[in-house]
Amino acid sequence: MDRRKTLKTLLGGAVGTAFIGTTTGCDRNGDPVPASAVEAETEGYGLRTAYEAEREENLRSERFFSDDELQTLAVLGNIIIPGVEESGFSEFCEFMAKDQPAVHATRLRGGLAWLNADSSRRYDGKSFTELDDEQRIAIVDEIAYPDPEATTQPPGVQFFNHARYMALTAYYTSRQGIDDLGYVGNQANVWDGPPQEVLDKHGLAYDPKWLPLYVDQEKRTEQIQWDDQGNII
Amino acid sequence: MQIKKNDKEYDAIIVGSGAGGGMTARRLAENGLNIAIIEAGPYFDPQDNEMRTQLRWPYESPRRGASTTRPFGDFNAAFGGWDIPGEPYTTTPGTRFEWFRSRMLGGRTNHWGRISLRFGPDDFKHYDKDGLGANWPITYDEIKPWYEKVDKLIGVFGTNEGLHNDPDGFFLPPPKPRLHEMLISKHAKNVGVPFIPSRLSIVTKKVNDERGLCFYCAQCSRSCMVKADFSSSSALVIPAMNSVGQVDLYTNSMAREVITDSTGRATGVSYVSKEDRREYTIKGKVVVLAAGSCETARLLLNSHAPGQENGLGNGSGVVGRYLHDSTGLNVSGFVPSLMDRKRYNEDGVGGLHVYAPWWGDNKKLDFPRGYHIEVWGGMGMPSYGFGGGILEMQRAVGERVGGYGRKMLDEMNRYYGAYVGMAMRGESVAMYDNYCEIDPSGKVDEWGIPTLRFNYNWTDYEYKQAQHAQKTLRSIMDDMGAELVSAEPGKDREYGLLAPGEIIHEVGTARMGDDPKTSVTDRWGKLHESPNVFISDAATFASQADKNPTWTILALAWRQGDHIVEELKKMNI
Repeated sequence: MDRRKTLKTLLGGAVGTAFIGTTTGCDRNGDPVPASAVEAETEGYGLRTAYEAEREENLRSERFFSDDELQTLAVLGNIIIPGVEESGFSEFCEFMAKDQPAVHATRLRGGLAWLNADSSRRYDGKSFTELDDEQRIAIVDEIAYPDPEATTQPPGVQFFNHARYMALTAYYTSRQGIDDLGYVGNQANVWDGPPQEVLDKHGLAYDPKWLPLYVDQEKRTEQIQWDDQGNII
Repeated sequence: MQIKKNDKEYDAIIVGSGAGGGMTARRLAENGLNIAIIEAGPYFDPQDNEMRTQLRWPYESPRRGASTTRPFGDFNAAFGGWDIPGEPYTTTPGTRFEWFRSRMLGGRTNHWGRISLRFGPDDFKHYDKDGLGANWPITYDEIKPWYEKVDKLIGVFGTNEGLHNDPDGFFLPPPKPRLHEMLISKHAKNVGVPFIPSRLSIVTKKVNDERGLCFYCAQCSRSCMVKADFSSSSALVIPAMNSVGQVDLYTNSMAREVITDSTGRATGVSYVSKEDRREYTIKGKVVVLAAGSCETARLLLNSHAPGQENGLGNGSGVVGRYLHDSTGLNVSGFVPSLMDRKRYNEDGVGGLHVYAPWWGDNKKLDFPRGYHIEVWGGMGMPSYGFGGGILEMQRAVGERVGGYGRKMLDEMNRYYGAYVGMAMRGESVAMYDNYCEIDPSGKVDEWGIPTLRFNYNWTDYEYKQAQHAQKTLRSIMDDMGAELVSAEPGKDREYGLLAPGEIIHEVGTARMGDDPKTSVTDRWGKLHESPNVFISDAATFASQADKNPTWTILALAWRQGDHIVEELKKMNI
């Protein structure tokens, strides 16, 4: 099915234009008026409340990480997932450190400080970004594999777990990661069950009791009609 | 504070625009009445492209969809949550209650799962069955015609199964199940739990000219631009504004109290405008409260009439009492047989395609009320936290835990779609000692309105039910070969029960009954002690069922709306 055609049919044809009723306006002469100083904002990614919009503006006006820290995040991120900086990794970390400081701020900043201290101790006072690739990987290999039996993990491992978590989110919520994953939804379409080969692979089949009752997608635009018992005619 | 007055008298003032308020508004407006709706939040229309969150991609959000300001994620249509800045509430020491509010047109119908279940005959008369709680003053047969009207107007898919306490209806055809849903159904059957097609208010086949058809994006919780989901704003309030009646919508207006004359008759409602923080009143012949069970109780307790100093309509002393939410717990795990999945668009509708209505017989069990089972899983759109379980999944399949680079991504891609979960949603018993009240410490919210304090404890009825559910859900997962994420929680963690309020099905704070000494409203939802104050939200529920409350709110509100129209015509109000 042509996706664009489907979209047009479904989004344009299915319902008429919405009627935006009578939201009473604000009248300063003393009539009881509802109002609007708290009108929601529509900028960006769908409706935001005034509280959310103001909060986000404040966050964006602040800066949390230093240039050095951001650079270190970018270098580490590209080891965890090659090219993750194209998915906005360090920018995402910067935003989340301000958006959810209790979760991210000290964990990331402290982890970066731990990483630089470890680099410095092992490689003549160099920071992580000053190391060559082999040296960086040597450090990463020591913190990238948590002991699944341990109840607590050393600081370096904890930091890497968190950095991995952030890199996975940044990557898989970006266009690159979505394509890599093969997610093909978030678009108008018509669901008609899993492909037959998938059902066969898993040894599953529709229950014959319900098979005739599932929506016939060829007839979904026809007006529903029932008999008195609620059976679809 | 100066209270500004307005001379216009409405036929009715409705407080709240969710399922109850929306349906009442639509019925009154379609009958030509002149009404006002007081809504605490802003206007919302999912058909407005600027407001749209549907079909947006996670990277459009700077937090990639994280739930920082919205508990169900950045694209969820519902503003608000369990914590709203400037609108606090408290709990008594040692007790828990989480109060979810959505301040916007349509209220909490903007976020819900669209699971639309009629209550059954037993649900209205549970006291007769087990001697606990109270019967409703009405029967299933009395409400049945109204459920039918709701089915036909709003649309709900499902199948007629002939189950005694999960009644048949006028269903739209259901969608075929997803892969993991078929797998769960199969293994649930092995352990004796029958799954059936789910019942969701999503338009799978043309129901009328008002509503669009589902295009299977799985995003009902973002509110639908073609109105294929049920949201009160697009399916009830906006049609009401477009009907023969005159509807004035007062948005960003926080209702404060019901104003009465010396006899207890309501003459209007006062509210605080969020714009200028001043108080206003509007006048009406009838007042309908539909602000949500706890907000409605708060309004009654903050309103007073001569002889009703403990709150309007509270002569019985039970306003705020018998507060009860659904029980809930979740079990999830990784299913190795679902690894390496072929990719296809599995979004489906915005919710589960199968569910298990309560199948047990409580007479043979050690707890009085049942529960239903919901499922989730599949190849959904990635959002914040995606891949967060990778270490557990590596461990489950025997890979080296941890790592990075292409190898890690390849592993993650293999695991995609293999994580499934189940949720138990059950009925709790309404208890006198579970309640909300006006906080005795004298706190007010930022609008100057006295706030609520909650007192809520689960009892052995819920603990035993939760233990049964843990065993049942885990046995289904085990049969499926799933690696469970967490060990079965014990008494110290309340057997995994979520806190009261977390399921957002709270009901019962102004229960209906024939006896004014033990109930707040009559069988029509009218206060026993005021001739013209009605409640059309779930505050009137004598008992919750093992169902979601919305369809019953809608049926009762429709019935009540028609009753108000008749009573006004007969000059009885």
